[in-house]
Amino acid sequence: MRTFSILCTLLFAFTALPAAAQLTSNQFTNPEYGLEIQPEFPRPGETITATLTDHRGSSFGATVTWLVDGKVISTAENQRKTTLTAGKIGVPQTIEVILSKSGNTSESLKKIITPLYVDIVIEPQTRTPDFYIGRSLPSIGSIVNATALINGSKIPASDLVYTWRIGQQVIEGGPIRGRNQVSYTTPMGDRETLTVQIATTNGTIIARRSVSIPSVSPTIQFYELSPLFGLNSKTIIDSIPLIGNSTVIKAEPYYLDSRVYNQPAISQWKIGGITTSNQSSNPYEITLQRSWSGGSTELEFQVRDTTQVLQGAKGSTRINF
Amino acid sequence: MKRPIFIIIGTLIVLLLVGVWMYILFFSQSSSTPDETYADLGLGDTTDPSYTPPSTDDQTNTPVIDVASNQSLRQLTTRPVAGYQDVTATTSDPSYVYFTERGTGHIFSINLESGEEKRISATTIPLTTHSVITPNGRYTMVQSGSGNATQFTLGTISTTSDTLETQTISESIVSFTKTIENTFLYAVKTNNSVVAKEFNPATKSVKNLFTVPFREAVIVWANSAKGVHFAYPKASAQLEGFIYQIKNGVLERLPIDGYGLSATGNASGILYSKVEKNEYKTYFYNQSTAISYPTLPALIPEKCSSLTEIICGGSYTTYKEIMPDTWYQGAASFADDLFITHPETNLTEPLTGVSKTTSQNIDISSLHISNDGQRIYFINTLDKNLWLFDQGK
Repeated sequence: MRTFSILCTLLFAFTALPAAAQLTSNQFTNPEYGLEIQPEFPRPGETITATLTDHRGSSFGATVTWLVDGKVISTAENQRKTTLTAGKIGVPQTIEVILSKSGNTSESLKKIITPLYVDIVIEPQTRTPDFYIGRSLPSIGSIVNATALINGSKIPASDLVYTWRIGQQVIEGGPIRGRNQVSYTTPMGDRETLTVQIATTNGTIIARRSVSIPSVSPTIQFYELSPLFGLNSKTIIDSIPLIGNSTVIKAEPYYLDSRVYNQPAISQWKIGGITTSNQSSNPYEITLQRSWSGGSTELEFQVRDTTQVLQGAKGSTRINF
Repeated sequence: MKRPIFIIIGTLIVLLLVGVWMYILFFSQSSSTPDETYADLGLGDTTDPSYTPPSTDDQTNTPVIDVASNQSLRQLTTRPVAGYQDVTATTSDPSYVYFTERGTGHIFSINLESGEEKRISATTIPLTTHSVITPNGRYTMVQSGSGNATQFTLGTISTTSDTLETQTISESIVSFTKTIENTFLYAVKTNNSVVAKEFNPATKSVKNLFTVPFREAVIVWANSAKGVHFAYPKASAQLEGFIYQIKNGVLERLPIDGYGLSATGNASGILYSKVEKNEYKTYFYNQSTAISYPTLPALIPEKCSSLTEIICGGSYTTYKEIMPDTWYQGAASFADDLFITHPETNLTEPLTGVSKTTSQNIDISSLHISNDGQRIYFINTLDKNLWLFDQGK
């Protein structure tokens, strides 16, 4: 009986703590009442929605007045929600709502927002040809470098604390001061969300930004390689005529992991379905020589990693001779 | 069944089959439509005897060029061009254009009045892909080779011989241009940024201009080191980009962003294109009003250049491809005309019908406007030949 009494006491004691925690944040004791801004961290010129949340009913019968930087928004009188435009970069903007009740009593809620630009620059470490002036795209298993650029904050980037997440996983294990650049490995899936949260050293969050990053399958494009002029920047779309006695074709794998491109486990050329031993020192180039006239044959190339089998590409074109 | 009967029946069947085979071999007519008889299973190689090799007749491929003609639009070269420069002339001198031949790095001058072409540098720089020449025609910067073998060479053009005095640049350059002050601007990649510098070939002095805080940057150079430059991450239809304006070495974020974003412009305005709801669209951002105006047609900013106005190669094409990636890959080409955007009115209008006038598909790139705004030069991406549209004619 004594043991049973002790157990019961302990049980009540332990369950009391979470119950008390629930009650302290519960709407019955502290009803939700506030000013909500969406988006939470707006960009300059962005449309903002400000909402008065009052579930305790204290605004019943009250006159609602919205003010931005002390100026009344006349169109928003007695509205629970209003839209406005974020101001200039780095300039704080005060959004205020006043609830005036009969008997000259009033309540005021205020929020200060500072419009900032937080840009995330994605730099995938995948292959594109030299002449390609665009950005490469991530593919599964490839490394991606991400840089957060904050514009409009007076605090130097080195004094800000960055928390990076890819999906639900925190990169680098947690927030790091001054770390506006991170690297991560592209996970499985077509898309993943990369989020950066920026805070001051005292923990105040000043900005948050999320971007959806694609993960694509590497593809092969074929180009003619001239010994005099170098790579022709026009792709061989369907087929290429072999006009002279020989030609050099280069396979360019777009978005292939740079590490795989530099050290491919498998790189294979096939002519007419038959694997050919490539004499070129560069595994991505093949010299074709005319052996007979009149005809058409398929030229196929594949490159692949053996540890990450999805990290590879295969393509084909036709040679008319 | 007895064994002899079995052998006789077998022999008769064999003789019958041999007879059928002999008949087909000597008396049957082959079908004129073999495809109807045999399905194409697409197994490996096929030999297609119906293929006709393309014509290699030079006369049909090479247009006849009359550089000195009075036509406002004319082809200047039949050699592939790596870079060119409208060389500053005095009032008494004729106008010249200098160009570097792709592949060899040889430099030629063309007298735009007489049409005379002269080789002014016979120094070979193998696999030359890109070059710039200073407006005074004294210095050149040449990019050659590819991948790890990419080289950058500084050349001094001699006025007395056809030998180019060269000097190799050891820095890892990602972008370069020339200025109206006859200096070079170039950008170098570091571990986490791109540093822009100015090099004076006369004094051999180098000055840092600004730093872009990411590596995959495109720099839209002004025509002077002191001018307004722009930088943005390299464009991709699937990745977001942002434009930064650089004045006196300070980066300022402009209210322009989007997927597939690329841009060109000057202190008056910026012409930019981006992908919106799977559609490639172009806008003109007026710097004085800070308002973006939609522009028609959709233009690829890499086909543009600006002096006061912005002049672009483009067409009223509805892009079906993933833009701009497909054009960058060389998997799409266009039949372009010239368009002009006026910063005062924010309007874009046709300037001249290049592909229509020449009846050729001219995919415009590397467009440049002469300092007086009269001559517009461009390269046809398809054959790398240089063209001129002279507004004064």
